[in-house]
Amino acid sequence: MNAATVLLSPWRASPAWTRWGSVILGAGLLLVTLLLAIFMRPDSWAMAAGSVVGFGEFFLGMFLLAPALLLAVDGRQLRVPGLQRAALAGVAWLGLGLIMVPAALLRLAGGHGTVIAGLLALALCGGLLMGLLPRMLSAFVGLLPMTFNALRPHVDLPAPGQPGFLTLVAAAVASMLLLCALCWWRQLRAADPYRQGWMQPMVLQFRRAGRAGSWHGFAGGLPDSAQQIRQQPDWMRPMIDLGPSGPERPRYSLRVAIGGMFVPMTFAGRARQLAVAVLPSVLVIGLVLLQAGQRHGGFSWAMLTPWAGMFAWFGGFIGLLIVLLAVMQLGQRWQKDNAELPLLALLPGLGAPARLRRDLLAASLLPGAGVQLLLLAALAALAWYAHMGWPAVLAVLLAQAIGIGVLVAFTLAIIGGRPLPGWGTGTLSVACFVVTACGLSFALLDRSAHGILLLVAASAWAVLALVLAWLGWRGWRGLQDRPHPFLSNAG
Amino acid sequence: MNAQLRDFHADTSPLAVHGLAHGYEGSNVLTGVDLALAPGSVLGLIGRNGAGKSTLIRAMLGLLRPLAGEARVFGEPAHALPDAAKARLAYVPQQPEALAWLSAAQMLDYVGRFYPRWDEAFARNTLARWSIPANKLLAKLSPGERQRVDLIRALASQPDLLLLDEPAAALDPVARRELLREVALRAGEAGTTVLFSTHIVSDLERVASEVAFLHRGRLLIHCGVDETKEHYARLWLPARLSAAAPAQALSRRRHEDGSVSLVVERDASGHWPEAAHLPGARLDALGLEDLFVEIAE
Repeated sequence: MNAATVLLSPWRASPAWTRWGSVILGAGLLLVTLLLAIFMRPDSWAMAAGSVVGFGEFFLGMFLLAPALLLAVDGRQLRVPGLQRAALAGVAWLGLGLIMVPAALLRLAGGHGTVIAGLLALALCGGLLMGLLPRMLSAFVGLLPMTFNALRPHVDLPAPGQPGFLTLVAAAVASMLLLCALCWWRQLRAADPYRQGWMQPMVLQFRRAGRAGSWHGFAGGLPDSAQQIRQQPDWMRPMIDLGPSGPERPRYSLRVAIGGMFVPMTFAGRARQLAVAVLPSVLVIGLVLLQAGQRHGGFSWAMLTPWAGMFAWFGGFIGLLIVLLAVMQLGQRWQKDNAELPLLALLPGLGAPARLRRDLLAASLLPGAGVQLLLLAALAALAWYAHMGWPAVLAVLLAQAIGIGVLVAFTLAIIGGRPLPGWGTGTLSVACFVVTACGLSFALLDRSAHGILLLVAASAWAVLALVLAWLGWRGWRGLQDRPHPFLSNAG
Repeated sequence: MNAQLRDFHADTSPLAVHGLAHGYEGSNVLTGVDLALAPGSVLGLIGRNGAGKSTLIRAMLGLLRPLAGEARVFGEPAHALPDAAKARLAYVPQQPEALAWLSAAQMLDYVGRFYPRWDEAFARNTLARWSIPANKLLAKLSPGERQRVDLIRALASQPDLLLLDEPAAALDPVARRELLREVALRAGEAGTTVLFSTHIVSDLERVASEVAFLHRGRLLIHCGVDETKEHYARLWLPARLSAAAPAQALSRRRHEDGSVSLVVERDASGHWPEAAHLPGARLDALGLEDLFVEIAE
């Protein structure tokens, strides 16, 4: 194996989507660096450019270097001689190049080469560690910069360029490399190194997601409910409340059979699910408040007002995400002809066809719509409390309306047997995200109403609403046309 | 061509299809299938991978919309079954994956609430007898355990009609034997009509009273298991007689030396084709497995 092959091994080992994502990211970073060079003062741009490149290198470490572990695992499992060493050497040499080349160039441009190299090494190793750590822990790596900032006033940590900074960086890099080595070694020697789970590295997810070729591929690329449960530890098992299910309560029974987000849980089960979902957000909000409190000399509710826009933005975004996950689960159910569909189609006691359709729609729509309405109430209260102004309130309301629209339209399309083709579903989902994100951003960042912006936003919302209405109508007619709703969409 | 095509008794047969045709993306999976099960019979549906067995079973139950033809269950259209018909019917798909988020006990409890004749004791005892952990989530069971839970689900509803798609595929030999015993018992004592698809000819010989052979979407044979040896045979003709080979044959193979092998059947009056009586021609009796291989090869 020659040097070029070794150097290119991480590139070749990474799934296509992470590889080309890295290229796009690299191009974007180059563009930002050039813009900094043009618009910033010559004495300060190199350090700023170093920070920008460092930001990108974190993702390169995760998406380009970490997948080499998959190559090493394959090499070990297939007993291919030299492949493990090549994967490791590829990571080392490419990583070194990703640090040294930008640092050298920025040094030539007047920057402090060693400090920039230290920052880049820190970012790259952080990304690599994020990819190799068990999924349960990797999220905490992303919180490190925020934690670092929060600790700064309490612990005497040197800033870039200050004495002791390089020693600190060297210690941090060495620790992270040690952890990376441990994770690498552990995964290579695992009894089943391809098994997915919360204790397995995040890179294992990349290959699965890489199989996504279409919406159905994308949905298929994501783990279905059975695979998710297999990955979960026993203490996370869903606590389902079968209580009143049976022919007397078909709607409730249908929720049990559809599963996922729709399944009725016991109070303890729902509380635990919420805790797991909310805990990371609470952690982040806590850190944000801690920093804000440090700046303002103590905590007060008034401090929340400047953050209201951010909470509203995330609320709108998360609402849409929840809805898309819900319809994706529903799409998975209607793809399998050996799971719930035949069981439900032949289950006696679910009622006459017309009533069954109504109950099925209620079972599929009401849980998601309930979450959307709760979010809507919370965000409306926030908007009112923070005096956000009517464009912002309208954007928040419309974001939730789009969420409900997506839920209804996609659900009808799936149950009616007329889901959009892969490219159509992907495009529509992205359009929903873009319109929601842009609408919220414009309205929340600049709370004064600008005529032209409002017109553009209103047009975008209107087009999206029309497309969703068409999709829903098409699905509704398909549902009426089907002899029963439990026919698989797989063919 | 059906060797011994049964009449289409849609009203009296627990399960019947007529002129069933289906296809995916331009290719035919089923072509004009006619099949009716006699009450209390055990039909083994046999065919190679991709022959259309699972599609046929799903079409028979109204789980897909065929391109042509009709399917009836207890005389009712399969795609619009009333609750009374559903309550008398059980189906186990190939590699069942339903309700993975429930434990085995929860799943049986849930499903049992819908069936008026649900045998809770049978479900509980069989779960214990087959050593399946009742409180383990279905998602975490092995494929064989999962299949057995679904078989218990199907049998505990005490169906009059039982359809099993490759029920033994994930089972070990002991579990397979137990399943076949249970199927034979149900058919013999309770008069349950059973249709099961399989690749394993020995399973079929052990419990089936009838066999249906599906090949490339066509139903080539449907007759009693014991009748196959008497009705079908391999006819070998030397090269000089190859021109006399009958036009009607279930399979036809020409050898390098010019001789021909055909799978032939008796006609309506019980006679072999005339070529079988020519000097030099040879007629070999075929066991079920040989018959399957000869036609499918």
